[in-house]
Amino acid sequence: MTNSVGDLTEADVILLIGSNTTTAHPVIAMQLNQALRRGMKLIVVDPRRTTLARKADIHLQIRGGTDIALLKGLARVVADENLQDDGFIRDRTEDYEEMLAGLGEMTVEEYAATCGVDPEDLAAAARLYAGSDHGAIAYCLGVTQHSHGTDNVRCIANLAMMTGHIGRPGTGVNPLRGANNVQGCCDMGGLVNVLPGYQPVESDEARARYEEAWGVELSPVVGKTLTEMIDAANEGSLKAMYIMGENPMMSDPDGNHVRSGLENLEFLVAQDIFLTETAQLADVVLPGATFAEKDGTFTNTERRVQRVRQAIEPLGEARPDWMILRDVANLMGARWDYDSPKDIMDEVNSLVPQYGGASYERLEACGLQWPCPDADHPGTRILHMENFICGKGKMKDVSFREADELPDEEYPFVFNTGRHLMHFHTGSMSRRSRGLDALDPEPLVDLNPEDARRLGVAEGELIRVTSRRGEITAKAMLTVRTAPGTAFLPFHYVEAAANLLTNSARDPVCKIPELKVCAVRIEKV
Amino acid sequence: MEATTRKRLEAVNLTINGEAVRALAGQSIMQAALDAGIRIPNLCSDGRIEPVGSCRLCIVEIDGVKGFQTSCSTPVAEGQVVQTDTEPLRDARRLILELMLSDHNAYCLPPCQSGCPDNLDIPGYVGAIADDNPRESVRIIKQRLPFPRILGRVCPRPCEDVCRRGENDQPISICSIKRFAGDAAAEMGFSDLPFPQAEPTGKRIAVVGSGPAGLTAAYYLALKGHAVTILESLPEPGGMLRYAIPAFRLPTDVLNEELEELWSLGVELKTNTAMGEDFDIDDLLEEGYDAVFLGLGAHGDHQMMIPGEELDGVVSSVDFLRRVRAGEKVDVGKRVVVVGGGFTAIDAARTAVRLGAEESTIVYRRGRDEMPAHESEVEEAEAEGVRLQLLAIPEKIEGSGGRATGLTSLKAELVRSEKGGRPRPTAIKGSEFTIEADTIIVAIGQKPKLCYEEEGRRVLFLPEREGVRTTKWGTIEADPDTLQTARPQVFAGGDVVSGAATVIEAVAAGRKAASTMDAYLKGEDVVRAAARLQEEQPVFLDIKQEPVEKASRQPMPVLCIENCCDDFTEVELGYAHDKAILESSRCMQCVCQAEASCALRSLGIEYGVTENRFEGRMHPVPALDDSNPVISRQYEKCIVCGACASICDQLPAAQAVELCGTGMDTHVEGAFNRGLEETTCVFCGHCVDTCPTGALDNRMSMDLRTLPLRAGPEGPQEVRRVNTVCCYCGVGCSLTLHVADGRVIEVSADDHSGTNLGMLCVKGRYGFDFIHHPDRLTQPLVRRDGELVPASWDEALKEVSGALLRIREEYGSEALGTMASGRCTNEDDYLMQKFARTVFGNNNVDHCARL
Repeated sequence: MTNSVGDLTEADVILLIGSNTTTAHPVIAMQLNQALRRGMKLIVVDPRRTTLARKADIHLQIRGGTDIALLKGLARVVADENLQDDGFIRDRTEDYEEMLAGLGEMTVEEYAATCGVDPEDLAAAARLYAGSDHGAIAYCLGVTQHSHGTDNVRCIANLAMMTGHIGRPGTGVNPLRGANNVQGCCDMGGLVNVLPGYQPVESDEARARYEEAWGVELSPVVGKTLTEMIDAANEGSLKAMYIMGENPMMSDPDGNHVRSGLENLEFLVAQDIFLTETAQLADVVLPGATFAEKDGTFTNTERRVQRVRQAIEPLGEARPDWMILRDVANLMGARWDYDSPKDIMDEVNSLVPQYGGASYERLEACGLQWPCPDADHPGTRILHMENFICGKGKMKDVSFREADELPDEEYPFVFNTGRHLMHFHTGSMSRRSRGLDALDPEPLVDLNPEDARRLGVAEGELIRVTSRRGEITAKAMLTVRTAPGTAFLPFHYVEAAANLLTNSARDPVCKIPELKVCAVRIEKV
Repeated sequence: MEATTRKRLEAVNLTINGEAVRALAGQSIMQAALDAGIRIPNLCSDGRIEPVGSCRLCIVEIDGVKGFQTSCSTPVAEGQVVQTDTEPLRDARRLILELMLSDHNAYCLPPCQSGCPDNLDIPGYVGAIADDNPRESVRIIKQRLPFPRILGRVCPRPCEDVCRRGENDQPISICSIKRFAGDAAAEMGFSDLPFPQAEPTGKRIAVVGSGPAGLTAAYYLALKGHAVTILESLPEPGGMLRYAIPAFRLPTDVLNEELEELWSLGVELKTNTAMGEDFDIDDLLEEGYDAVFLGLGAHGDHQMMIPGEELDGVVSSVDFLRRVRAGEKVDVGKRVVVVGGGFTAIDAARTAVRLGAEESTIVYRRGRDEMPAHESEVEEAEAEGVRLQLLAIPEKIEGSGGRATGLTSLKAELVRSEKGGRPRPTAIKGSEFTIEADTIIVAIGQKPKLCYEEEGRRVLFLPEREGVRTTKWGTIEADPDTLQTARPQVFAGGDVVSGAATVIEAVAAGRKAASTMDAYLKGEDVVRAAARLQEEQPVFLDIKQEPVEKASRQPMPVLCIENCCDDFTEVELGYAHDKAILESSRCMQCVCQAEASCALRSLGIEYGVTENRFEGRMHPVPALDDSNPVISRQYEKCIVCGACASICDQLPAAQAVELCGTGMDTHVEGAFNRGLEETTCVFCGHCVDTCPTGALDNRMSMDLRTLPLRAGPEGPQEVRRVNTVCCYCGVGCSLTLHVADGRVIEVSADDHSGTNLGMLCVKGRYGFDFIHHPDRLTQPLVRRDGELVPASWDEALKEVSGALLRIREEYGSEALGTMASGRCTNEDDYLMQKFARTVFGNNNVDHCARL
């Protein structure tokens, strides 16, 4: 997030795209609900009629995967009606004219028709967002999990920059991060192309810095992403994987492809707190400790680094993950002498510029938002206030393109995946929480009542959902949350694993799979 | 917003209770007082929401303003003079509390528990039987009492006298339910110990005396890992349980079987080893025992001090019962008189019947109602033909040829003393009468016997040189809280300290001594250990809970009279399964799981509200679907303050619960009064968080939370609070984990948080129990012949490093990949990428950021 959670509700208008905040980030949703009471305006862009969409001033219920058209349509209205912030564009950005030229791809009506929304609503949304003093954009995986996710985000950045809605309180481009420490894992360099602190692996200077600290020569070659590793495992070029705290069998697209890849490995290590669907395939399973059993830090969606504190002893012989990794590394020839998570954070403080001042001593009192370069820095609530990190904000036009797999006669429904309030991710924790699982015990496929009538399916009846990659059977829930011609299923349930159906087509830049749109067939069982 | 911020920064000066206080404009008087360290009582105030102002307990007086004002909703003003604690305010608050409590249809803690000398969790174990779970019932009992089968037969059951069900029809048969639980569990073969035995500590303890105090002390000391040896002067263990209580009340088999558990804990027993004769305290300590427990009991008889007591045929009840129980042939003749009114007197009279006495008469100074023996025992004795001679004061034992022939007594009447107290029996002049007797058994009480006979001399075996002092009543002197004697290594408890008392009191003393001795052996502060055991005595508010329907107590089945007096077969047969469940279901469960957190209770205590002045209609409580797995609703405890509705409206903005109705009919209700699932409820639990009573509660932690009542053998457990960060979504809410006994039992929002402003969602608040889920991986697994099997860390780590090194060697670095995790810590993830980059030598590290 360029801004902060508390700051979001200072906006006059929030443009919320591809986020079912009520279920995925409930405490942010509570704050949004409170702000709505105080008169904040809300525009929701979502193919589903979510709880917040119902409360919104404008709900743009787009056809899945048409985000580029929607965002370019909004930008076109801003430009056509001269609502842009010329001063900001002049002082802070570059290549505005080229971006503007690209908006001529379609008319506003054509953009609206492509998305399946009313052009008047589209125009009203653009006026509301651009016309406000403080307009913020918040988005989630509904924007990024597409074969054109990177381009979606570029369009969002264009819109925020042309309206000057960045670098001030109550504005910004704010991705809501999914898991407790997915932000931190990126910060720590858990990515194929960057070292900790987003230092490119291809940069000689960056590598030299880490080579000096670690005393090892580092590879300048960008690594394989998760989905690429699964492909390589299927092909046979990847022979071993060490998977810590992840469950790709449930979370990755095209589950059957994941299974065959993992089974094709010569050696698989899984380190987890439960024998997940992935761990069941492993050659060695190492028991890790839960968050309540170890010390450390998590970094949340607003870049706030916070202390995780051990409350109880690890169960049985379970051990904290860092300790296990240290011991394996040392058996393989490393000489790591970390005695505690603090020793590791000391090293992070010395190497990762954004975390320079985020020492355990300071975190003891309260969290710190990075960048926090040194011991006296108070942390950063809002990014890009004076300048963008790379100087001027570069605008870039992108062309609209459809999702990789569209419905056809054989597979006539658009299938979407996501989350429920009671569960989390692949369910390994929440499905084992008595209360949560009792509140939401079984997979239910959201199906529009019109479609259900046509298929002869009543509420609670079993349906079979089939894609080109797999099939699942689950009960139907008839609801107008999902539009006619679409169906939705969260991916928490192993008994009807949504990702057996999804498409592993990927964004060409960041390799995100297209989990939000694929084509399926639905039949009554 | 900026305008209000500026306004709020203006300082306001006011006076609260004579103190000058500086506050900020816009603050409430309550907040200003709180900031100045002055607490104003309240029930419905929650800093996270606008003032509710309904409980009205936060009233204050403001100079120049007529009437009381609620301080939560009255803003500070320059020059205000505020009083928060005047007598009129206290009177008004007391009245408000009385009115609330008159309509608060619930109990805090049950009187049966505080009536029990050992503070057994009675609603807990009775409830477990109602749920048909004897194993759980016994587990609860054994937290404080090792011997449910024995006590379930012989306890004088003081709990039943105070049982609240007795106010409606009849008290619950608590003791018999305990017996059922113990017997049923034994029959089911439930012989494994309810608690894990600690690792051996290497400390040795001598327990002198194997009565209920010594046995109990030995049991809990052995559980704590100490090596315990019991020294018993008689041939068999059990003390009074074996040598005073007749077999028709406590069969020898039951006693022996229940003591088995003690021996299986490794407790050693040396019988026929008497203190004073075979050893003394110095010997024990020289032999290497680290501590000694003296549980010598009260084996000496009180004497009547009347003429003729020395005659043949006059025996003490202790000697009499012991000889019978030891299998000696005892001839009582045809006519037996027993003097006394307690359990021992009844036991002696009933034993005499079984030995062939044609007449067995109990002579007691007071009336039937005053008899210390339990009513049921008296009834059973009468059924067996025992005659009661009440209001009779023994005067003289008649004799002939050195043998007793009868007891002459004076009739008595009960006269109330001018000083108050128990009415005293006073002899009526000239009312002498004589009951002929071959045997006269004296059962007027026992006292410790701290001497032995040596060459006709009585030798006190606790001379001062042993460092243990005795009292003028012939008991051992021990600190009432720690049970430590003047000699620090020596502890004492049971009858030898208290004088003759009940079995359950001896058990309580044994348990207490085990705790303080354990502390002593660990070098801890014994006084502090004893203080941990002290339980806050509950204050009872006289409230009006009534049983759903009247139901009489289940009668205890007994052996039919024709069969019962021929031998020593057990008379009471115990409840059958269905009757036990019926009887336990009568229990009203007078216990509130919110006892420790209830603000209404603590204010009620603070303001001394202990009875209900206001009788009348209570507000109707909606019938509820209370099946929700995370939020428990018990609206009979609701005081209709409306805080839940306000917080639901203001924090999640869900409006799932609201105040409905008017006047007396006002009540809290979910939309359409259906299950919460059918409302807009998001199960965030803020309503539970703010509820000042137990009306709303966290069902996930209700059973896990530590009530004083449910505490383990160590007394109330300490709940530790650890601030950390939620493990679910990326919002990163600050949490407080509540930890007791190594388990996370509850989660609340950390007030000092940055991101979540004191709020939590359903997962943060209720989704914590996966931590202790039985599916947790607790040891490494390696694949052998296609199966994952447990392995040591050493084996597993070598297998991992070996395979990865081999593959790197064989196929090169690019054949290896890793996945870090968005669920792990920064430190874990930093090491994982460093592992890929420096040990594997590639950049194949990724995680679920894309998923």
